[in-house]
Amino acid sequence: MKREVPLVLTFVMTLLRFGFEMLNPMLTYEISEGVRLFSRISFSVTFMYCMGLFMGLINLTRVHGNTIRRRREHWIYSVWLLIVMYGYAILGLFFGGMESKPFTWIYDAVIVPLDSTMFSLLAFFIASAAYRAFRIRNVESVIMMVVAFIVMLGNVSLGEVLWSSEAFLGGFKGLKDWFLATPNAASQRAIGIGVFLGSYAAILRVALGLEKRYLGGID
Amino acid sequence: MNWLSKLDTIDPRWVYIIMAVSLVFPVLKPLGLAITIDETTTVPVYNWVESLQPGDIVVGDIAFSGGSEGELGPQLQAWFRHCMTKGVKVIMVAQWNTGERLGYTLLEQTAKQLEGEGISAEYGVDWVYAGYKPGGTTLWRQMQIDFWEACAETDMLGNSFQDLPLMHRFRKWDKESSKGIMAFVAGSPGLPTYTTYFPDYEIYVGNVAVQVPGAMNTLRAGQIKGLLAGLPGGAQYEILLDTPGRAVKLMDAQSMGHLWIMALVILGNIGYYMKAKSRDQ
Amino acid sequence: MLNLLVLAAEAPEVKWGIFVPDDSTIAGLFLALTMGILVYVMIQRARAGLPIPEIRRIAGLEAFEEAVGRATEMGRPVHITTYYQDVGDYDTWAFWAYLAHVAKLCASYDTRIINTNSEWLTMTVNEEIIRQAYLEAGRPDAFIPDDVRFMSDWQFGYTMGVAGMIAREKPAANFLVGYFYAESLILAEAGALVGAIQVAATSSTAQIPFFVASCDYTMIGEEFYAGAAALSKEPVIYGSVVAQDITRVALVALIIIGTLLNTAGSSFVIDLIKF
Repeated sequence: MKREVPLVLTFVMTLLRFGFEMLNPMLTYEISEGVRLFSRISFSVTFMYCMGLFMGLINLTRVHGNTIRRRREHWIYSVWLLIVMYGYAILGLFFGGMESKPFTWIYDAVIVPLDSTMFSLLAFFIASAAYRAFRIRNVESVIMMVVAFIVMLGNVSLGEVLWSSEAFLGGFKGLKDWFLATPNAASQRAIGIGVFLGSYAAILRVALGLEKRYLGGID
Repeated sequence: MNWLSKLDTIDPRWVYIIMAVSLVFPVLKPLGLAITIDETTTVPVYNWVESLQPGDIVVGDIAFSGGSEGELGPQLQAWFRHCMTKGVKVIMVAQWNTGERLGYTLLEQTAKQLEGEGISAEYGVDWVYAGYKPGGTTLWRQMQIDFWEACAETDMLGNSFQDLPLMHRFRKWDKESSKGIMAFVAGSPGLPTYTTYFPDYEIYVGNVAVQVPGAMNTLRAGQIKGLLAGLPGGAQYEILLDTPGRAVKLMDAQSMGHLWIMALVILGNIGYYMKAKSRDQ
Repeated sequence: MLNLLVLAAEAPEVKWGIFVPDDSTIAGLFLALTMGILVYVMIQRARAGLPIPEIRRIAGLEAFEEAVGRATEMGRPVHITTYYQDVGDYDTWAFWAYLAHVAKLCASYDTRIINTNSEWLTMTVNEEIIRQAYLEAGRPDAFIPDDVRFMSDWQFGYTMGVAGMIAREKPAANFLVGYFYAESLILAEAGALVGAIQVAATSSTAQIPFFVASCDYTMIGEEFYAGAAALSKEPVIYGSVVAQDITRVALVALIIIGTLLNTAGSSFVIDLIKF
């Protein structure tokens, strides 16, 4: 019973979702005046996700609570994490809401710059990754390196200085545009079609109850 | 030649330090390298806004957060400035909750600048920020049926749609009420929401550079009509508007960063070759 | 998906009344039903012991065992993550096949497995899968619940947390399996800096170059899904992979026919796909 009920529920919900995507009467069906079944179901999904947030909260508290209790290495960071997590939540919940000055200030002055800082690490990591990866070992790696150089130069002003887009073949920019718009676009689309087929087969396996790992099993 | 073979294993810390210098130096002392306007990606977005009539409504989407603000922020501000200058009304939604507040801050900044220049950018009349609404892509489907209900009839600031004059012209998100979509996307949810649920709409995209190769096939297929590609896209739009700003300023830094990566690849290969040669001997 | 097959074009005006009047709704329904029937037929063939094609060997799959083995020899943990995919996402379902495989290997070799998460519902299922693997290996006490960790639902909060964990715990194997975004390179480089064997499997085309540059093995596109099916080693799962490959051949044929007809001035195939 513990396994059958979720399997049946999965199948029914898949059919329901399928119906909402395909059938107009289902999409616009009203359970009472102005209240659509589709909107109720979509709100219930939203509600479920919000409740799921508490599981994350409990896990973080448990993991870092244990780290503090056992004085594991770097436990002081766990203290800081719990202070920030609960502090920011309390600030948003009980002190003026999400539009309050302190709440928005923390977002603008702390979270956004931190987010940008992490994203900017990519600039550094792409350099070290490119340094390691672009070694001329065979013909394929030569092709990859030459194309990478053309695309890089075609993307920036420096490429325009070196080989202008007004010149033969449209310069680095013209070549870059061709690489992006022709071989790249074709291969991206081919991979995209493959990914869709793979994912659709995966959906069918779950909908038909052939794959049950979402119930926590390993087979 | 021994020192040359050491180029095969440069300490990553040197890689990072020189990269930091290459990026910071041009910001402090701009080199003023030329920027070429891309006819196939940037110009269609510009021409689309140019072709709209004052009073037309377009929908914009914030599907990015602080991380990609450096690339998408200037694009958003330049595009919003263009719309307001043309008298085009803008309704913004946000697919990312983490970028909701950021999007509002950027738009509010530009609106204030525009008001200072005597261009109308009044909230509720010229633009509305519906903000992030939880519910994922299914909610976007619901917005097409009844935008007001899907957004619980409130904008991000908690104002009722009843009190916002612009919203009275936008009860339903369809092709009659909106003249196109401009999505600023950094990942997922992002562009597929529109190519799936709004396939026959005029869709334009502002994308982070890393996603551009992935979006090129949709541009080639005509599923999106124009594409602002990363920081260069923002810089080109600023130049088209004749208001060079943050993106133009940062383009030199991007050039120098690329130059260092290319130098690293060349140095790495010299080291690799020399090492292989000395091993063979 | 059908919008991947055609250029943007005017859709036929006439739609069947009961269907949502979007492009490709009816064609999509037809494709879904056809593939559903194909999957059913192939599974029946597999169950009846009739011959169905084998899935080709995917290089990255063997690397999982090799990497766990190396971690065991070095006495260091194994790390596996899927970033932010929720329980309803097919990438998560594929990830669970890999997680179960790695968890079983770790449980039988008595190697510590660390799983980091950005999605709370997925995390609870992950915990169950790993717990079950240890239970089946006869080592329920070896399972450490604190090693299944929620980092943050914020992309770079999660990234920072995972990169920090990799630097501190120095896993000998780093498995990045699922759909990734900008965090991919940061996670892979963090792993490279501690010398971990890295295996990536992703359906995200934008991240493939980063993984190829930073990881030892990369499974791209639908290899990721096929690999998940291959790990199951069940004929019924194989059946669905065979069905998807037959559909692929049919779609390639459709593209060729459509291109020829369109060149000849007929929009028949485009109209069909857009219907």
